[in-house]
Amino acid sequence: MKPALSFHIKLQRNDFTLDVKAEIPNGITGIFGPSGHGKTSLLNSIAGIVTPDSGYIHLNEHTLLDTTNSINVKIRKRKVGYVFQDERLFPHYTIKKNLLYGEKNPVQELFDEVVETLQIAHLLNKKPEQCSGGEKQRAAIGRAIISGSKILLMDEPFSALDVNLRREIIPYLNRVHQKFSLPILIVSHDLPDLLSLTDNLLLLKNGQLQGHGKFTDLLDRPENLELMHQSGWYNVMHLSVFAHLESKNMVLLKSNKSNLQIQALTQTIGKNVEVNQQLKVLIKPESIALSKEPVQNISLRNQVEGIMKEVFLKDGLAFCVVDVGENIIVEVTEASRKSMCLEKGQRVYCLFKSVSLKIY
Amino acid sequence: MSELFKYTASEWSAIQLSLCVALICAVITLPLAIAVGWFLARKRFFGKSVLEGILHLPLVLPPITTGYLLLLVFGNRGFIGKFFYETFGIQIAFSFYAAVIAAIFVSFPLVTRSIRLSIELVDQKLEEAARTLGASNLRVFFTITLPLAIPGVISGFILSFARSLGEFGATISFAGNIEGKTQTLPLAIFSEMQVPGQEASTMRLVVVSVILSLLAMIAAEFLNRRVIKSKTA
Repeated sequence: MKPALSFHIKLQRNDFTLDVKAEIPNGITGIFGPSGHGKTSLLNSIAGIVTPDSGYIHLNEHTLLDTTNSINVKIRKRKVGYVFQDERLFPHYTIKKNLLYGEKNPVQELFDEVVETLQIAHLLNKKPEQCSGGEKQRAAIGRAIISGSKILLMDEPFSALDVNLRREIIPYLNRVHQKFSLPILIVSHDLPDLLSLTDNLLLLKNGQLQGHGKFTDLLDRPENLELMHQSGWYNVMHLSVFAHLESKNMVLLKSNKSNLQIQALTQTIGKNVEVNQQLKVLIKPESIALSKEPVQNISLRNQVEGIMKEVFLKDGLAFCVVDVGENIIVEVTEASRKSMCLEKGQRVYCLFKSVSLKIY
Repeated sequence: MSELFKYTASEWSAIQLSLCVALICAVITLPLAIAVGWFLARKRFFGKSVLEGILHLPLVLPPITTGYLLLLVFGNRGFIGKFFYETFGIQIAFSFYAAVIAAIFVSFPLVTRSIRLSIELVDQKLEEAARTLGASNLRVFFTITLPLAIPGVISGFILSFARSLGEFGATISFAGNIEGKTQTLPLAIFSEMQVPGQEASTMRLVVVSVILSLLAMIAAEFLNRRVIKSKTA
């Protein structure tokens, strides 16, 4: 498939160098990296707020920047929707006027659909300061879409929101992507938040692209593990609802691609999920225990069989990449790994509690 | 006591002239000061502080010096005055225009300062956001920068008006003290003070002067509050 966005951006600022080349497919892509490693500079370059020293940016069939041919499209003509960390709604305008700032006479259906998708109809006549953080964020997203953007760039959309609001904004972003089929680039230094939205990640470190691909594939390399480990990471499994085990108050989830099968509490998923519905299951690497044999008489609901693919050691911890149908990371102490003689290639059982799962 | 309310024709003319000069001055100064204020707030260039120094000079120069310099430039032998006199037959110095020009020069730095400060307070990130939404620089200025800087613009307008009402030194040296033509309120007060026995007349003019200045300040305060209110409503 043709990438929606491709770029090679080189930028030198004092002693910081940004040099990133990537092709971004249509979909939601997360840009992850520690603070100050060039994530926002990358977005600013794509939006045209910052002019790179050299490189190119192609959005769909349009060239936004090509330094060899001296092309540098102005910010206002790039059709890049930028949702800033601090929303940047115009304080002297109502939400409605903010929405219409980029395009005074949008197609009515588009306007209605944006308002409906983001649920901001009740805010239209309010001023930004009368809205909550989450509402402002939604209005800013709506403003970017209505202005005719061909891509959405979001800079740390979660950081200004508290934990509950974060969870609130995630379904909206998924809906925006589905309804308006806009590619979305989201910058965050918070891996769990990103993973709840997408598995397609760009890893940025010291201004360089360290990895690009599916989260589970990125786990293969120790330098990626180290980078992601610092952010309180999660394993992501793509499973679909297989059956409701109502008598046990559990839901059985299965992978479509492998034999992976787990049980989750009905209340973590919500009662209204349907059979075959696709879900994203997140679990922290440190919430998983390893065993070399299946364990009998144990309260843990989930014992998943897998093969140990890799072991990386760092600071007294062992990060084990286990193939259970997908790669997952298990974090155990180096001491217990040694005493159990866990090695690459062995068959292991991953044990975890149903309550430690987060499901989206 | 009733003498305090009997204004003579020449006193009325001074009052009217003053209001007229102040209003015209404020109207002309405002757009210029907005342009220069924006330029100083948003642009960086070589020699900026020198330019700022020159623009602010009338604030600290003795007004009579400003008046004399204006006379040098706009007088019939000055390079601008000469052009107007020879081409259009218009004499600028010692005319109504001179009173307006003197007022503009002394109030310009005050107004520019007020507008510049309020433009500097406008978050440039909002302007950046507007640009990503497709707005041209001109549109950004008129829809984002100017509306958000409006308190400074309003107080600039009133400052300019009030400063012109009080202008004395530059006016008397550049425009002269011609009754009905260039004799504004402060000049009229000065003239009356010179003549023994005109205490009542002086007092009448002083009362008007105080009231006008007070009204201008109250209006500024009122407008500023309304702006703040409408922004938070």
